[in-house]
Amino acid sequence: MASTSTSTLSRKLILKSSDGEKFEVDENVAMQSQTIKHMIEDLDDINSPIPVSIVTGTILSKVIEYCKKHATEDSDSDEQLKQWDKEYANNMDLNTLYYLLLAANYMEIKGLLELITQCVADMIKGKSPEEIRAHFNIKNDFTPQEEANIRNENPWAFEN
Amino acid sequence: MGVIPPWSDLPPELLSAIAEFLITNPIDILSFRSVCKSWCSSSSFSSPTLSPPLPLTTPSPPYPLRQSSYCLNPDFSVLSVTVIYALRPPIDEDFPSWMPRVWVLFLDQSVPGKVSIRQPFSKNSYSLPINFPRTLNFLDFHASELGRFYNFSYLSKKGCNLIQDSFRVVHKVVLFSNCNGLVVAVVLSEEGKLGLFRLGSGVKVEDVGVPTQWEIIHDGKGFRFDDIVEFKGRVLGIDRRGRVYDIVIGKGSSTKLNVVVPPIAGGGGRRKRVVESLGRLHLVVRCTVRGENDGLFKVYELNEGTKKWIEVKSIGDQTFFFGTEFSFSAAAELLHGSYGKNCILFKQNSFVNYSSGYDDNSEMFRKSESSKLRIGVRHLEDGSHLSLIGSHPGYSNLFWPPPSWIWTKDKSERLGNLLTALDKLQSRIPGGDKAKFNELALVDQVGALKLMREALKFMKETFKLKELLYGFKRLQQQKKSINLHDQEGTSTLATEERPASADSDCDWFSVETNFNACILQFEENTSNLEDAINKKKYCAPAE
Repeated sequence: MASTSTSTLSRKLILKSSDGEKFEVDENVAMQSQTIKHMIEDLDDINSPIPVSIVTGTILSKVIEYCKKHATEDSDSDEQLKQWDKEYANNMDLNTLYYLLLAANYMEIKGLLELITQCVADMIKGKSPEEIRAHFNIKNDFTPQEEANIRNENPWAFEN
Repeated sequence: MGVIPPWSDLPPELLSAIAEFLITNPIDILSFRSVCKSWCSSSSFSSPTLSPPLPLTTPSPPYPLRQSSYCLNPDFSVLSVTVIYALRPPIDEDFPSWMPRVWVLFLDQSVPGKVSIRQPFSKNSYSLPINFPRTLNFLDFHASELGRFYNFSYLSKKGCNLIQDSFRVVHKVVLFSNCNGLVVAVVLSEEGKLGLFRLGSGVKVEDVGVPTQWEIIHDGKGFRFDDIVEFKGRVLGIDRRGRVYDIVIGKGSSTKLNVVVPPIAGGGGRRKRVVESLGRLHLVVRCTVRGENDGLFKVYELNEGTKKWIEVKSIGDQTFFFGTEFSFSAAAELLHGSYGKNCILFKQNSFVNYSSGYDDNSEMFRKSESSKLRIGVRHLEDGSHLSLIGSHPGYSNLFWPPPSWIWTKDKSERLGNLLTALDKLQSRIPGGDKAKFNELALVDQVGALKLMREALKFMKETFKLKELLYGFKRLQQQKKSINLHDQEGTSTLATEERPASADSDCDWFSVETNFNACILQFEENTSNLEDAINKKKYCAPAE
């Protein structure tokens, strides 16, 4: 820890995506990922690229966009930041959201993970099981009996 | 990236993180679990809760908030939620156009794991009669939420039982969480006072902790509040003149009231109400017009730019609903089909007169056939008429009686069941056995005779209804076969005759609806009789 304390802000790191794309980012931007933070602690040579093995370049650039915004804390008010988050998530298509979710989980970026899970949950709200399946292209793998069991497992019970 | 990613294969921890955001709505969780196996196994569904973490035990409202007629001082109260659902029939039958497509259900939860039904618009719960389903599965009824409101009730000891009763003095509760992570319940008392207590510092409503002590925001001196509402992340209070206060809740115990909208001119002497509709805030006022008992409704819309109330003549395709402790707005199309746009439905006493403390239309409400439907209807476009909901089946059927598709049993089954139950009840009343009857005290003999007479009367009536139902069903079948015959024979005439046949369909439906109401009434009577029999020591106990 002591070795990284003095010049944290100016240091640059290189992140390497699963398909070989390289991104140069400020250390404080990358440190929002708990996974990368732990990797740096164990790393001898800070100048060698850090592999982010399961994340593609396209997705990694989106992750970095998010981290950059959230690394500069003082520039925006909470409300502005929330608004930015909202627009950021709304601009993603369903495929991107999926990989972003996996990336945020793998890279352990708490804020991004919350943002995307909330966004997916909002898509589910108010939909019937059939509508959810159609939206996310999920196959119903229940037998009719199993499905009926789930539907009936917990009905509203009236007190009387 | 042409391949669609496998959402069903998401890691369980991510799926449960998504499900976490859905826990405030039990229907969403149930739908989530019904999608596929992996989604199902990643989320658990314990006892259904309408609005976690409610119901919640809280300190009771302090003296200034419940000053009026109450000397009662319960140790603690329960903060609970009522959710208003629109249920749709499992099979979309061919309803006539006047028939609402939904049943509006007020569901209460003041005990964890259990729910109860409220009488429409009312503070009283409905005690379920015989035959009424004891459970409801919302996925079967395409349930959607229309609105929710919060209540305080207190628990008082009666004998060894804890009896729950509502605080009549509490008018409205708004549960509010702001960006500082405060969760606060703001409470409006009947006398226009405001109080609050903090539920904790969780960011989300479901993160609340142990409630803190009460704080009085406004003690009723100088002016009185008529309504409170959460609107776009703020809690607003409306006083008797229509003035709007922003209730700014600080982190400490400091709460400020800032006037943000000036009062309206005039406004009359009845409680003013606010309702949010399609993202806009509306003020609804009932004015007294000289020589006219009806009282006029005036609707204002808040112009957020100029910060003024602007009178509007129409509320578009919406229906507004007012009870004494809630208000909400819904698209008419969603509820009544083609019927009921630009309309206000309001419970008796939701616009009380300041000076009398009662509804100016008490007389009209008393004429209501069903005590469960003391609800007024006001169409905004057609001049002066104010009417009872009972005279508009298109509205009253939204609320009461519950539609026949709620029951798992059909009508004949229900009547059969009723007869069996009445038979059993009758056998519990002493009367048949002369020796036993003679042992009773005179008072009890009279009581037993009364009960017996009632049981016999109900049985006779139920028999009659069963016969009527049988006749009705036969007629219906005959009509069906005639209709089929007509369609095959004279196809050219069919278009001309359609209006007439649509009318007669409407009558069939009315008969169905009346049957339904009648059977329910019989079921309620029988359940009341059972209660009475249970209370009498001289009656045999239930098996």
